[in-house]
Amino acid sequence: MKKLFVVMLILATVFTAVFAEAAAENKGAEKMELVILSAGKESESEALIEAFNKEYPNISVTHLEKDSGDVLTLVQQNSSDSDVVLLIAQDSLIPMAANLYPYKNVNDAKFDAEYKDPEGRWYACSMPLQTFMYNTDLLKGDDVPKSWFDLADPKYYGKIVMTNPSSSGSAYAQLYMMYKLTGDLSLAEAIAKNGTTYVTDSKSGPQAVARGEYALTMTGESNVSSAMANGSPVNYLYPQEGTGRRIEGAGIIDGCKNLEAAKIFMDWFTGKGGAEVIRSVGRRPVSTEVGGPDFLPALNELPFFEYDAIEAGDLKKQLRADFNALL
Amino acid sequence: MSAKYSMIENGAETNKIKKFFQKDFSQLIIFMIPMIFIAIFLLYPMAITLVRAFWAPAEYTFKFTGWSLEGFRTFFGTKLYLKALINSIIVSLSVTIFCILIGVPMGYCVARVKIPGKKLLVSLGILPIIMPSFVGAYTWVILLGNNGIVRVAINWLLKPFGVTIPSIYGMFGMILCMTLTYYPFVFQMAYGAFSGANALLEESASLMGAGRTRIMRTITLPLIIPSLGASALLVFVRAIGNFGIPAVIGGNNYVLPTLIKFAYSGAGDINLASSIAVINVIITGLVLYLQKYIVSRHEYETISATHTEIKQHTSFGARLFAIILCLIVLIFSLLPQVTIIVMSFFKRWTGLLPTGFTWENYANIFKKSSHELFNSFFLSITATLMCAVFGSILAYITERKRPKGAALLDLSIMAPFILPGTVVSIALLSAFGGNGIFKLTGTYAILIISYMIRRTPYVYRSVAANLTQLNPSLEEASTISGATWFYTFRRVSVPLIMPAIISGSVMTLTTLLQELSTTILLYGAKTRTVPIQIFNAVNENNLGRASALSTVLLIVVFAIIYTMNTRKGTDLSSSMKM
Repeated sequence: MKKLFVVMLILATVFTAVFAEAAAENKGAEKMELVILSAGKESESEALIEAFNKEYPNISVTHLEKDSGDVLTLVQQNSSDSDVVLLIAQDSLIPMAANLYPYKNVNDAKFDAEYKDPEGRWYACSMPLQTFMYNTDLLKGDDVPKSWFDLADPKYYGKIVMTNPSSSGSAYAQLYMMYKLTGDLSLAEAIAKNGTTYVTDSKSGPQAVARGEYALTMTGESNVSSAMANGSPVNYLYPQEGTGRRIEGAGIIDGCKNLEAAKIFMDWFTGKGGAEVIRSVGRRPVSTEVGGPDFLPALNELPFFEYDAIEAGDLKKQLRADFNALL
Repeated sequence: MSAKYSMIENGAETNKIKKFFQKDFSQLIIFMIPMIFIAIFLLYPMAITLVRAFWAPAEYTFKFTGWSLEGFRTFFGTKLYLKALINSIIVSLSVTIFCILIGVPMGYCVARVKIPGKKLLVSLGILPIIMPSFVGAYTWVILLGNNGIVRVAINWLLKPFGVTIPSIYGMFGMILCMTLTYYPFVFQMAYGAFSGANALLEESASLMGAGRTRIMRTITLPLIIPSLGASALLVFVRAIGNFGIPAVIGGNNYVLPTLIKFAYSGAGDINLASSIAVINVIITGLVLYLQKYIVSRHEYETISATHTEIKQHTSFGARLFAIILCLIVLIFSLLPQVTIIVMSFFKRWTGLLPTGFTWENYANIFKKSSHELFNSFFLSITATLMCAVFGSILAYITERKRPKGAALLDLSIMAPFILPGTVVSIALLSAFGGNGIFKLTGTYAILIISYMIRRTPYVYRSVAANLTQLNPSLEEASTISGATWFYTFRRVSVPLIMPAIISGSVMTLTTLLQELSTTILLYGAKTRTVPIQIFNAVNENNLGRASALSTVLLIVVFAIIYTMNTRKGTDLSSSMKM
């Protein structure tokens, strides 16, 4: 009977030894460390680290991914152990700006005023534009919706999956756009009454459409391009009224442990190297040095309407509560 | 006061002090260490949560926001929240009932009917609860969704009859998936109870001329009611705390954990999340009370000096029925595991069938998951070893020494068992996240501690149950011969209760390797575990990677459980007793 314990102990020791050695090998001679906290996907962090380490092999980077709301809580509380925040939507980035470290990186001059904090606390990296994503096996030709208002059309009854605005920042952004279109929640209500399913996780909507579980969703365009890259039968359609021009960005956490490494990372990330990776994972870089992501149309082909991130932030609590009262 | 008198008084005093120092405090100290640990890491977080429930709404802050009933007002004043509450109650109760309907007959069949491969059946019959529910939910979509392979196949078969089965989304789907995930609790307990029940009682009833149904109704079933009550409660608690299944297949039917996510992740309002957690605990408390009430009317002391072999049904009909029942339940409930193993060899599964055969998912494990594998094994094994030591010493003290406050200790140890995982996590987060006195988020320590808090009950219960059946005469003999209690514990009791320690530890280790609900709120960049990576991979639609990682864990877990089940005297069900 004691054998099992002995075996467990041996296993523990072996694993410790093997992986500690593997970890040790990864580190170069001149060591620096960096922790990135991203609201993006794990594979996106991995791609960024891989590209970054090609130029800076001496900086050992660990990463973690949290919802942007969780990132906001962590940063505002000074309770994260991370150095850099990444891919944070503007509506979360602005409230945390006071807790970010002002650092004008080497690429500062390349950024227009709307794409950066005046003191350099954050820089925009990409645009989380929202678009229709539809399954090409289920919707064809004239069946594809063209306008925001089409989502309330009875022919899509029960075919639409959206994310509940209470659980996700991008889903809230969609709600705010609908609010901007009509000045009230009448459009959101009509869509909700159209048999629409509101899932509680922003990632499961696009997955369900890719699988053909639902015909249509509204999602960030990077989800469409990555699903298309993966061979899923989906396509995008930007509603004719336009979509809100939103940005997401990155910054250094004030009081972080590895400030020097964080500065090096921001210099790299805001430059062409970072933008290339952003593009390659399917996001739309704000940098004009690289093009848009694969499969998606160029920025100047897209219709936009005004998206006021500050107003969106102020109305967040009320609109979410009002929306939930409709369900 | 005369000088003489005061001298006597002084003498008595010195005597008292002497006696005080002569007393053996080792027990008290060993008793106090876990109590302090529990106070800091369980009672304090729970108290903080309770207090926070009465604070004004917080926006992305852990600081004091003023006293208010706003959280409860929001809850009871919003239709969506009330609907979620009702959904939670309906789902959890239905799942509990269905689990009993499946688990009890199956437990009876495996324990009392002569069928082959019992150890394999028992080992396979625990796997459904050991997979992260999030992954399980996705596999159910692949199987039974609108475009799911099993649904399409069944509908094709049913086509001539003009019938179609609905897709999985909604209340029915949630109840089905949770039932197939949680029935093992009832099955394992029922199996343990049916095979451990005193055979003499049934034999005497039979000798006195009672028929089979009468024996079943008046002897067999009443004897297993306590086990049944305990497992039903476990199922209820798990079902009401499950976030993954409702998130993936609940559609618009939200439940309490959904609301906790809305409050914490969506609005950054830990105070509202606490209010919801408190409501959740109140419901669980009511169910616990109901369970105690029912079980207390059916508690029997049976005296079993020797363990007699239980008579098994050997008729062809009974054996056929038992085999068919077990196979049907096992096949259906293990479909997610099968799906995952198949999926792990493919690039994607977006249509009816998986496409793009590849070994890459496994090759990537070595490239991208070595750190996570190390963390998972290191954290789980460390926590398990500590649980084993802690749990068995605690059980020994409370069971054998019965010190003052044993009831309190017992309640504190068992509390995390009946508290939904989301509630414990929110409690730990509100106590140790933010700028609290102890800031532990992101450390190995907080994960090991939270694992211990949540899992010590397994070893504790397993050992306690074993000790009550163990005649203390051997221990007494050791004590009379002059051994200290700790020596007795080490040299006499531990060897006797080893099977119980092992089964409790196995339950702890296997469930910890798959732990997600606590880890996800408390992990940091350096403490990512395999289930976290699986969760992320599922989220970004990388089912291949998620499946390969899940398969590795599945194989490790199955190997551990099967090895244990082939040993004599170990019984997983004893670690779930309340």
